[in-house]
Amino acid sequence: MTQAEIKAIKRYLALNGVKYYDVQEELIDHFATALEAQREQNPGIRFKVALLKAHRAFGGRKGFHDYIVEARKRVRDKILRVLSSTLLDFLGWPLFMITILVGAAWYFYLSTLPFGTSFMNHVLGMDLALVVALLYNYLKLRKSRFYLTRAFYDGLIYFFYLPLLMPSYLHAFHDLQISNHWTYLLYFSLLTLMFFAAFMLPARVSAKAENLYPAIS
Amino acid sequence: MAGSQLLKGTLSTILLKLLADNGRMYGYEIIQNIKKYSSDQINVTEGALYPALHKLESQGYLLTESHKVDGRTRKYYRLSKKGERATVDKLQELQEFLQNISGILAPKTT
Repeated sequence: MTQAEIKAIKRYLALNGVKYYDVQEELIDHFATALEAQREQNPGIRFKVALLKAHRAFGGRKGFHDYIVEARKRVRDKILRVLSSTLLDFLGWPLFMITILVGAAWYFYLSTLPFGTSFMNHVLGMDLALVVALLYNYLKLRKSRFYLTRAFYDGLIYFFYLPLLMPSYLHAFHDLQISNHWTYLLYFSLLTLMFFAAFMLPARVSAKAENLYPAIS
Repeated sequence: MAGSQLLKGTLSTILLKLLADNGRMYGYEIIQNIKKYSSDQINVTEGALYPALHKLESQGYLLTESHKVDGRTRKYYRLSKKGERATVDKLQELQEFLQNISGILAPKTT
């Protein structure tokens, strides 16, 4: 089978909704093998006809749909494993030291502010930085060939709703003024950690996906 | 062709047995072997095969390895140690079940 034909199979699978490498990897080989078997039986068979025959044998659109649903579920399960191992790597000593340093910087900065200063601008500034990091990664990864990366990124967005909505909660329950440095110090340190995570984690997960599913040339 | 409901309950045992006999295999090869051994009477669709293989993999019965074959990646399945033990148990369970069924279906001699 030529590389052009393998690419044609990939395109055909993508047209039928199987568009991510980690979901289509096994199907490409399945279709290619089915086509080769048909050619052995009938050497004159046209590529397109053989492909349609293989599609029908797979169960047509319904067959693809069932496969995709199952494959995505499988990839989601894999995400949890990749996420936990990536987080363990991520939460290593360098980041721990950086967070402590940034936390200390926050503490000294907050100490210089007079009692009663509003925190709203600081909170919104940190949230804005977080949104920029998320947007940056969204633009970078939106054309990712891996369902693993896409699904992980979508999950990450939900996770970041919490710190993004935190100012509203703080505003509802507190007056967002300096009354207790430690509460805000903890919150700002958490936001700092989240910023690093939003900025660095998607690229790391993407690299892991590339390792798990080497690109099919 | 064998009834799909009957096949559904025994597919995982069939897959384990095939892999126990043949070592590592890939999806298309498994389908062809099932057809061959059943004289074209059992036709497992791909839509049923791959989810069953993935389930066995997630249960720890199968191990996988990927190899480049003719410019594409081929995923091979083989039994793990846990899968080898499960194959023996499941085959015994299936044989006992078949004996019981044939006992029920056999004509009564009174």
